Amino acid sequence: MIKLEQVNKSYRKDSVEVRALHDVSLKIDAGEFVAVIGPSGSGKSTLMNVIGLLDRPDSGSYHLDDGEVASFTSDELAQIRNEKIGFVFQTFHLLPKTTALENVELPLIYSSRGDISGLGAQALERVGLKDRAQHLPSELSGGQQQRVAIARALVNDPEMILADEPTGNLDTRSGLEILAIFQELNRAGKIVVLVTHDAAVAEMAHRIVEIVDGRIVRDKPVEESKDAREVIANWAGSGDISKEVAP
Amino acid sequence: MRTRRLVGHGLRGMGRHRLRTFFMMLGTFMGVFALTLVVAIGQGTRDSVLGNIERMFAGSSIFLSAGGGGMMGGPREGGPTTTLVMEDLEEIQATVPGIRVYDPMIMAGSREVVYQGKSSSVRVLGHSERHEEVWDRGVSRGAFIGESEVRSSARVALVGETLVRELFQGADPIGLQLRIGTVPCDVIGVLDSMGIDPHGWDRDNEVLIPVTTMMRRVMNVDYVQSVKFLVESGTDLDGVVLAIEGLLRERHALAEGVPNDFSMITPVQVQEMVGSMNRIFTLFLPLLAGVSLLIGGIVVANLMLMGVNERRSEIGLRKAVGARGRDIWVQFLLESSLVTVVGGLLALVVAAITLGVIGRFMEIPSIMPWEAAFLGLGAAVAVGLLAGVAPARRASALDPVATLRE
Repeated sequence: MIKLEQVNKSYRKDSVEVRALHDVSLKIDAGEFVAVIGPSGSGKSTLMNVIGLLDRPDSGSYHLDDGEVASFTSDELAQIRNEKIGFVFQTFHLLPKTTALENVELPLIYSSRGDISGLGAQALERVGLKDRAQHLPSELSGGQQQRVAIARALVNDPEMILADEPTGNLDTRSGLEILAIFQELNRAGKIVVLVTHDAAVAEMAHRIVEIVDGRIVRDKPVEESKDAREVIANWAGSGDISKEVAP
Repeated sequence: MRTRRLVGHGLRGMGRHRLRTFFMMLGTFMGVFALTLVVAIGQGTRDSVLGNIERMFAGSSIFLSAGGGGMMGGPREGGPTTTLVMEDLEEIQATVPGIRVYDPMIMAGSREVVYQGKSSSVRVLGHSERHEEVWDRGVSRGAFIGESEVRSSARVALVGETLVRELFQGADPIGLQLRIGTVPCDVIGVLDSMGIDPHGWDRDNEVLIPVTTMMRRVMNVDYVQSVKFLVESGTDLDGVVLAIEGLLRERHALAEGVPNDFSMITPVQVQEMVGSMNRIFTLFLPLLAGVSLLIGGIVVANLMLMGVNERRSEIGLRKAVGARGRDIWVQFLLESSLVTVVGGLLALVVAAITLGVIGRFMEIPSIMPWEAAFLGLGAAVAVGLLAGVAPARRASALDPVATLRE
């Protein structure tokens, strides 16, 4: 469970004070699939960094499960990120020259778990890349690289997946497959928070939070969220996807 | 468990980035390698120079050479000094108390020596039968020249091992006849081997003949170039030097104010020389070594810093997936210290091999200075750790948000 109350965050950019989050209050319950949308520079990435414990709020409170984030040391935050949060980035951020399996296992290296054997392979299997375990990122397509990154986010069995423009660098078809994986993970009980500027992508979520100039301007459930698998199937039938998912 | 995973992961990462690891290793490698070679050759040279000097001037001895002023072996003006003659030496022996024995010397730096149509350019020395006692060098085979042979200017010669090998092609030279210029001489013995002296002379590429034979038959002169006196132990050396000086000035009829036409070196002067050489070696060598290590350390530090900049997004990602600042720190320090240790150890091995090869094929003294080498290795590790600290700190302080956005 994520609960932000009156969170403010500002940073300096070229000696100009930018207020990235302005009195943001937001509650996300277990099992939700939330899309955060907004134009670039609106503060949605800052919001995700705060939720993901990569950045601390300047003021306001953030409760993750029952802990107040402000009271944790940075080592404790690192451990929480390791155990409870999986990140997926627009540019994948895989280690070069390192096999898919070893990339997936990276969070396990920093984990306090004892036995980690087999977890990496399981995670790869969940994203359908079991047979590519020994491939290097340079030998994989963009969609496959992003699936490796999702497996990495999953490997420690976190409570939530935070994805920042995960489909931004992918073609429509690969993007839909990634979204389908997110929907499956959400059905399996994980919180998914998806940051995007793409309204069609946001339609895949159950709830859309719109943020403009650091303020939440809209927060409403999606009437009838689309199923990515269905979109892929329809597309295969009609051969035209532009009506379904506008770029 | 966690630490073991971290270390294993770090090692595999270094293996994947072989080029980067290689260049970092090269920094320490060159530092330790240069250090070891410099110290080895420096120490070896010092030991052999000092050993030679000490052997030359061992005990109570005075070395007197014709010609005034200047240091031993320095340039002289106006050609050879012809004033030091055998009668001077006989009188010194007869009148100055404390002189035990002396050996005169006259030498030709390079003479044509011929055996059966084969010729070689060789240093020819004229000495007395007392050379064996005064210079502590005798023969390994055959007999040394005797008093009667010196008195009669006999045509006999002692040869060095290099000559045996090259001119006589390994045959036993004793009883054979060689020619020095136009003078035929019977070989009666082979000189003790001495190898290369500090000036680079091959002391085994020498012929030793009676000093009288050298003067009358080979060079046709009536003077000698130098003489070494052995003095009774317990004698006041300064007194002996003064007495010799007075006697020679009188015999050479040198007026007041005219400088000596001879010069003397005593063990006291030699010790001063040795001391100042030692100071040069002990100051200079560590300085050189330190500089080479410092350069190695700077190379490692720079490569590490470049690595941090190149790997910003990797570091950000590691933090996002749960690496603590300390984990990043440990990874970078592990890399720098491992690279320096391995590079340093490799340098030791290669240096030992190089010194072995040098020792075999060249006449440079080269003993592996293990103490200095391990000291250097320790210093290299320290430098590597220090060189790793700044990059590691910078890496661990990176803001993941900023790096992941790039």
